[in-house]
Amino acid sequence: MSDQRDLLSPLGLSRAQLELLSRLADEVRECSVIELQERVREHVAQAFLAQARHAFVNTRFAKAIADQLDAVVLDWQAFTPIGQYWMRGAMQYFVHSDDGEPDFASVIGFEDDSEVLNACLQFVGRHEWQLNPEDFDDV
Amino acid sequence: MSEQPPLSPGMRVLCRDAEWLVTRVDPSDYANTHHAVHCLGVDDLSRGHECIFLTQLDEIIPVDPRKTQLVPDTSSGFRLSKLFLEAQLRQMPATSIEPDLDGLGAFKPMKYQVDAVSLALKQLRPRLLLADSVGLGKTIQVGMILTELMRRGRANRILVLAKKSMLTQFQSELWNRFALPLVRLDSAGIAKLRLRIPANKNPFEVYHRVIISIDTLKNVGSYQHFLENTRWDVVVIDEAHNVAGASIPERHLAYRLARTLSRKTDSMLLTTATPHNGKRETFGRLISLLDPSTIPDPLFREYTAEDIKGFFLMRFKEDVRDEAGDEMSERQVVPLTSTTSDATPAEETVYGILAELRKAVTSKTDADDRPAVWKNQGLIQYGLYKLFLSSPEACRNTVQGRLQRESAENPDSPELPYLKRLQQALSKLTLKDSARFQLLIRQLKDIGWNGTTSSPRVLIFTEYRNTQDALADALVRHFKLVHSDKFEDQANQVIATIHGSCPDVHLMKTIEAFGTGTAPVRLLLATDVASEGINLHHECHNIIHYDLPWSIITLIQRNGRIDRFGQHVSPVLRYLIVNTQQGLLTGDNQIFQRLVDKVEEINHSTRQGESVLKLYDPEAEERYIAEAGILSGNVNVLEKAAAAANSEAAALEAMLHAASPDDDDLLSFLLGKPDLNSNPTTAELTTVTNSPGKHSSLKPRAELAKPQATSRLRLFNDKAFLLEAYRFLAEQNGDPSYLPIEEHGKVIRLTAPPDLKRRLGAPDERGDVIFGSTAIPVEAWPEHGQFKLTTSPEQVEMAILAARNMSGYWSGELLCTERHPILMWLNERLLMLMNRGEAPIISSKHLEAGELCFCFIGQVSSQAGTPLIVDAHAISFRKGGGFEHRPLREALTAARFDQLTNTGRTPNLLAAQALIPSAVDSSREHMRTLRTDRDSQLLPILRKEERRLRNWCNKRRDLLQRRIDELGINHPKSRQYAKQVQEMDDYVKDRQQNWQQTHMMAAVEPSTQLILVIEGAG
Repeated sequence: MSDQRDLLSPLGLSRAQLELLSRLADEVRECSVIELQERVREHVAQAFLAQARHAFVNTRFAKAIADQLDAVVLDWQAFTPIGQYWMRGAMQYFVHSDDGEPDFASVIGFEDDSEVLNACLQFVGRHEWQLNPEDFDDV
Repeated sequence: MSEQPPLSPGMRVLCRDAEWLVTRVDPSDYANTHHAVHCLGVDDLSRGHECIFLTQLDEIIPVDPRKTQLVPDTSSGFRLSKLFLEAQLRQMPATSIEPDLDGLGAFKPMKYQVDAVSLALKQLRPRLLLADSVGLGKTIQVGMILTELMRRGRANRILVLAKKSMLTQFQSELWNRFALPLVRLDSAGIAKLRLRIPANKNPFEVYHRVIISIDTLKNVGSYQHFLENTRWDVVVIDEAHNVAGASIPERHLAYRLARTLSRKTDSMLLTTATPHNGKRETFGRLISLLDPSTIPDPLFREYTAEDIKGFFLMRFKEDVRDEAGDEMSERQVVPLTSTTSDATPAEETVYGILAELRKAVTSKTDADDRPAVWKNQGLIQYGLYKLFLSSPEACRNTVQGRLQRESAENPDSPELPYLKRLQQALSKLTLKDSARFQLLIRQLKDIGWNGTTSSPRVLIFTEYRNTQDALADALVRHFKLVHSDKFEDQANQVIATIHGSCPDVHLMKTIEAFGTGTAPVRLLLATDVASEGINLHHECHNIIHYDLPWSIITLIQRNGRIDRFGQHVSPVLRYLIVNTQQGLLTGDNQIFQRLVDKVEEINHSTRQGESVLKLYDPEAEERYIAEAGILSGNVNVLEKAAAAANSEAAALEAMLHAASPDDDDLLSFLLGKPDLNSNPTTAELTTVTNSPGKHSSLKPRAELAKPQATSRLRLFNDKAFLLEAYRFLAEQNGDPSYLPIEEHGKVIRLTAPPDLKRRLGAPDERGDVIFGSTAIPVEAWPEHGQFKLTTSPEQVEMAILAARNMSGYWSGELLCTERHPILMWLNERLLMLMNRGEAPIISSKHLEAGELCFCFIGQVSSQAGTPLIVDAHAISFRKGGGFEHRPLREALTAARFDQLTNTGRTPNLLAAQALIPSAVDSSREHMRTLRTDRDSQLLPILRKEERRLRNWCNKRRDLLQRRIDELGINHPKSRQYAKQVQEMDDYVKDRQQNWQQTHMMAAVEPSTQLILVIEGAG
C-alpha cells in the first residue's frame, strides 16, 4: 500500500496531517466501515458532553462532519479500494482527538478533521461534499 | 453557605484582611490537594497589587455578596449614597469596542486619529504599527489608545521605549493632554532609583508606567534581565524603525529586546514615519514584532497584503490636510534666488582645485596627466567638495587628516599634490569670511534675528560637527554674545548647539528650552541628531538649512521638526546655496535646486520621500545623487528611481497601499461589526449635574453647553464630582490638612493633602514605601503642592502654551477628567466610605411602598482578571410577589435618585436583608446570561483568529521543514531551523495558555456586588 500511497494520496494537507492520516489509515485498514461509523457517532456524543464544560466546542461542525461521513458510508461501494483506504483513515482521524487541533480543547478543534475529510473527498471525486468551517462559526 | 465552593478565576476572596480577585489557580502539590492562588487586589489598599497565596499557608475565604450588610444612609440628601454610587460607576471598566474619548483629554481628536483608536480596539489583542508620515501627531494617537485601554483595565502596566532625545517630550505630552503619568527612567532617574530600592529588586515591579530609552536599556545590562521577567499590558516603541534590526537582526540588541517585549505584553504599539527601507524583510520584521503569527516566512520576505492587513496605518499629510484645518499651516519656501549667493574669489580658488581633482579622478590621471590609480574615489571626487560646500573648517579637517595618512602610508599617491594645494588654499579661509556665512547673516536679518531676547526662534541644521562648531563661534562673535561649549550650559544661552554626543539629560533640556517662550535660547544649531521625532514647532517656524544634505529623506525629516500637526504659523524654510563659476561644478546647482523642488513636491503628495529614489537610506541617496547626478552631470537624476533600486521597493509600496484600510473598510467596521458588550445599561444617563458644589441640584446633561456623546453612566460631571467628593471627604475627616478648594474663573485649585501627596509620589515625600503604581512625573508637581484643574480644554491649551513660554514642557493646568490621578484618588477614597461587605440603604417616595430595589454591578472577568463584561442593573421586589429586572439607569430614573432628599425615614432593614440572597442569585443569573451571549458573539471572532494562527503555523512549519530537508538534518542551519520550529510551538502554546485562555475566556463564575438598596416609600 505504501507505494500506492506515495503515488496516490490526498493533496493539500500539511506534512504532519498526511503522516498522521497515513498512520491511522494503516491502523484501521481491516476495520469494518460500520464499526468506524459507530466510533464517529460516539465521538460526536463525546463532543456534546465536552460542550457542556466548554462552550467553545463546536458540536454543530462536528455533527456536520459526521453527517458527511454517513453519506460517504452510504456511497461506500462507489469508491475504489484506495479511496476506501483513505476514507477509513479520514473517519479514524475524526475519532482521534489528539490530532493537529485537540478536538475538545480548541475553539477550532474540528478544523483539521474537516481539512483531512475535504482532502479525502477531493481524492474520491466528491468535492461537492466538502465542508467550509466558516459556515459553522455562528453559535 | 454551608459548603465552600472550589476557588476559581473570577472569584472574589478575602485573605489577610483584604479583598482579592482570583486570576489563576494552580496546584501547589502533586496530590492536587493544595493550590497556589494568583490574586489581584481589589480592595482600597491592595488595588492593583498582585499576590500568590498558598492554600496550605493562608485561609482564603470567598466573598459572599449574599451576606452583604445594609447600612441606613443618614447623610443629608443621601450625599453618601450618591457619592458612593458615583464612585462605583466610575470604577466600572469599559468593555465596549467603540472608542469614547469625549472629555478624557485636552485634544481635538481628528477623524484619522480616532480611526487609529478604532482599529486598535477592534483587535482582540491591540497590536498596531502607526506609520503615518512625519508630523501627523502619532504621540497623540498613542495617548488616545492608551487612555481607551486604561478605561478597559488593559493598560495598568505600560512601558514606553523612546529615543533619548524624545523621553521628556513624550512623557509630558501624555501628562499634559491625557493626565497619563509615566515615570521617566533616564540616566538620572535610574541613579535615583538605585538609591531607593535594593539592587536585586525589579524596578518594573515598583513602577507600573515607565518611559525609558532603548540606549539606557541596552547599556544597563541588569535592567534587561528585569525586563525579561516582567509582563506588560502595553508596550509602546517610538521610532520603531530603530529596532527593526540590521541585516542579521538576531545580532541586533535592540531588535532582540523588542522581540522579548513583544512576547511579554498584551498590547503593543509601534510608531515610525519610515516603516521600511524598501526591502520586504524590514517591514515584515516590524509587523512580526507586533505579532509573530503574521508572516510565515522565517526570513520575512514572503508575505501578502492579506497577511499584514489591519496591523498598520500609513497616512500622509495630503490625506489629512483638509481635516487638520488650521492645525497644519501651509509652509513657505523663501525663493532660492534670495537664498543663493556667489562664492568669494578665495573660495573660487578652492572650487577650482576641487574641479581639477574631480576631473583627474574621472579621467584616471594624475596632476601631470599621467595614468594614475585613485583610492577612495568617493571622498576625493565629491566628498571633499561636499565638505567644502558646508564650511572651510569641515573640509580642512578632513584634508589634513588624509594628507598626513597618505604621506606616511602612500607617498606616491596622486592625491598628494592636490591635497597640499587644497590645504594651502584652505588655510586662508574661515567660515566667518565665507559667502555662505554672509548669506546666513542676511537671512537672519530678514527674519529679524539679532541675538537679543526678542529675536524670533530659528532652527539651523548643518551636516557636520566641524561646521557646527565654527558656525556657533562665528555667530557668537558676529552678534557679540557670550557662549559656552559645555553641554549643561546649552539650555541657558542665546545660541545652543545639540549633536549626537550630548548626554540625554542635557539634550532634552536644550530641546525643551528651545520650545519654551521665556528661555534664553533663540537659535538652535543642530546636526541631524535633532531631525527625528522631536517637536520644535511650538515656538519656532523658521528653519534654515545651512548646508544641503544630498538626501530627500534627511531634508523631509529636518523640515518635519517645525512643519507638523499643531503648527499655527506658516513655517518658513530657507535652503542656502552658494554658486561657483568653476565650469565643471556649475551644473551642480541645478541638481541642488531640483532636490529642493522634489522635497516640496513630496510635501504635497501621498508618497513617502523615500519613494522618489527608492533607496530608503540617506547615505545611499547621497552616494547616488553624487555619482549618478553630480559626477555624471545629469540634472535629471531625481526624476526617476535609482537604477540600483530594484522593483522590490515599488512592489512593496503597492502592497502596503493595498493592505492599508481605506475609509470604506473603517466605515464597514464601524457600522457592521457587532458590539460584543454594548447593552442598554451602559447607555447615556441624562442626569448629570452642571451645578458644582450643590449636591441636591442635579441637572440634565443636555443643559451643558456642549452636549457630550459619551456612553458612560454618570450622576455627576467631572468638576461637580471633584468638588463634591473633596468637600464630603474633608467634612467627614474633619481633617485640617484638607484645605478648601479655591475656584478662580475656569480654574480649580486643590492643595494636595498628605495622603494624596504620598500616593502621587511627591518629591518631598520621604516615606519608606514608594507608591510606584500611582506616582506622577516629578516635573508635574506644582509649587506648594497646589494642583490646578479646569474643565476647559482651551484653558489647558493656553496653559501648555504658557508653559512653553515660561517653564518648559509641563503644563500648570490640567483638564479635570475622570482619568486624572486626583479624581482617581477621590474615587478610591469614596469607595472606602462603606466597610467591606456593607451597602447603603435609602428610601424614595417615587417608588411604590414596599418595593425594594437592589442595585448591582456585575462583572464577568477573564481568568487573568481582565474585565470582559461589566453591567450595572437593578432587581426590584414588589409587594405581592412582583419582580422586575432592569438596567440601573432606568431604576435610578424611576426612583428620581438625583432629586431625593433624606426625610429621616427608618428603612425596613429586616425585610431588605432577607431578600438579599434572592436578589444576588438573580443578579448572578443575569450575568451568566450575559456571559453566554458574549461567548456566542466572541466565538466566531476567536475562531477566525485561531484559524489565522493555525494557517501561519502550518505554512511556517512546512517552510522550515522543507529547508531542513534540503540541507540535511545535521547542517548547522538545520539545527537553527529546528529551534525555530520549537520556538513557534512554544509561542502558540503560550498564546493559548497566557492569552486566549486567560484573557479572552470568561471565568467560570461571574461576580456581582450589591452597591445600593432603595426602599419604596410612595
